[in-house]
Amino acid sequence: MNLTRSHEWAARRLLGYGAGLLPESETLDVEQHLRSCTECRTRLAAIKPPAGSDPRHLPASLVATWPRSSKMLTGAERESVARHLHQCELCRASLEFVGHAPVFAPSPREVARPRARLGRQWAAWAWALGLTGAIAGAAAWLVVNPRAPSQRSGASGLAEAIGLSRAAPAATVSFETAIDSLARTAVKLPQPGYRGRAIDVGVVTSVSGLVLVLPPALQPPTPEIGIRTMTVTLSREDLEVGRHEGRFYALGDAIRLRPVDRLEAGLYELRFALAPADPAGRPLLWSYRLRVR
Amino acid sequence: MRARLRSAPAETVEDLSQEVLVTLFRLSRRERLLEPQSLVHTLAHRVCVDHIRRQRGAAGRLDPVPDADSPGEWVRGDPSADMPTDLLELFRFLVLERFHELDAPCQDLATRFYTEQSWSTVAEQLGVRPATVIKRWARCMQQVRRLVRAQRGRLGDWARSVDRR
Repeated sequence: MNLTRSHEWAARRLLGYGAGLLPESETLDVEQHLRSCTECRTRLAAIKPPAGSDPRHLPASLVATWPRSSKMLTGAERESVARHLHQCELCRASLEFVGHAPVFAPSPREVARPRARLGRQWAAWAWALGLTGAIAGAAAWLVVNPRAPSQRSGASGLAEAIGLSRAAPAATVSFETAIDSLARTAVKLPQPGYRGRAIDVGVVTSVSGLVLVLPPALQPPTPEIGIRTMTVTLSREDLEVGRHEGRFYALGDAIRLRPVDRLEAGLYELRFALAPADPAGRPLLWSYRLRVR
Repeated sequence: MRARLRSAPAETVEDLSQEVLVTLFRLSRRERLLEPQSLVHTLAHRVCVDHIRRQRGAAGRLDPVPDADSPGEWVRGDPSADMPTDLLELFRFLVLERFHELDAPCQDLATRFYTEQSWSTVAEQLGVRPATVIKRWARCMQQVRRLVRAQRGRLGDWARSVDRR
């Protein structure tokens, strides 16, 4: 340990010490200095987290200025904050308490980067190349797995193999049922049979998801009906992006749709299908059109 | 707060008031608030002082605390260029998040140190010598340094500037 370190030397390193960034030998020297220097201890006390704050949660200054601050988060810091928000009820509640939705504002980079536009000729070439590549890939796959298509039905198996199938490869939206219907950003679904414009649900991200408060008609009128199976599907252009199957009563007052990533903007169909009492009968269907921004 | 930061724009005062509210809200979720008025006074003072320090950059972050009742000197910066968040707090949060995923013992050390700001106190809590706990932290530090090197943007610049001092 270097005992000749001056007060100035230690004072210059206090912030690095407080952030935990100093190398081991310097940390030892600053620690030694702090034992005998009241001034440095007082200065260091200034960066102790204030009473009531926990460094494991989003800083209060970030929560307070969320619409502007979240825009400036990039890369790993943005991912960490998003992951934490997804897991931490207290941080989501803090954001909602000061009137901010727990969704990210787009970063300047996302806003500034326009989508590359291809000319019409280029686009045709890109399509042709992509299709040729897909067919070549499928052909190679068929050579390697000659029995594979026969496991599916002929044409549909081949269509699936070259990526032309309309079936979604995996659900991108999960459903949480019986959640708290008092969420501030919740959208109330109208009674079934609503024929008005598509319901604007705003931006739907993996952090906040989309909370939908169900109308009375979507709650079981009798216990017998409550135990029937209710299937909820979300689809876009006939492509299913999420599905939930369970007892009708288990839906509760509200449900949350949570995509794995930000849901692409556009029109979606949310469909509720209640299984009939008689297996030979037809299911009861309700559907809503949702507009995601 | 308005009296303390006389020359600060209304938007800044509103941000800082929100910051106080967030801390109060979190505290109220944890325990019953006793003497809320004096608590608000203390928090408001602390938030104003921290804000003034933030405006002075990394060098001013450890400046002496002005008297609680004296008006603070607000330094005008470019609000669009400035990250309105406390970068030290954000840095601590990201370090803890990184350890939360990858290394629980390091997360425990970091949480204790960031709360106490003293390796001697952390060593006392763990019943070991300060040199031992600093050595353990040195191993965790390698991950922190990797995080700093990988970090782009304002936070990365801040951490590298602190690291170089």
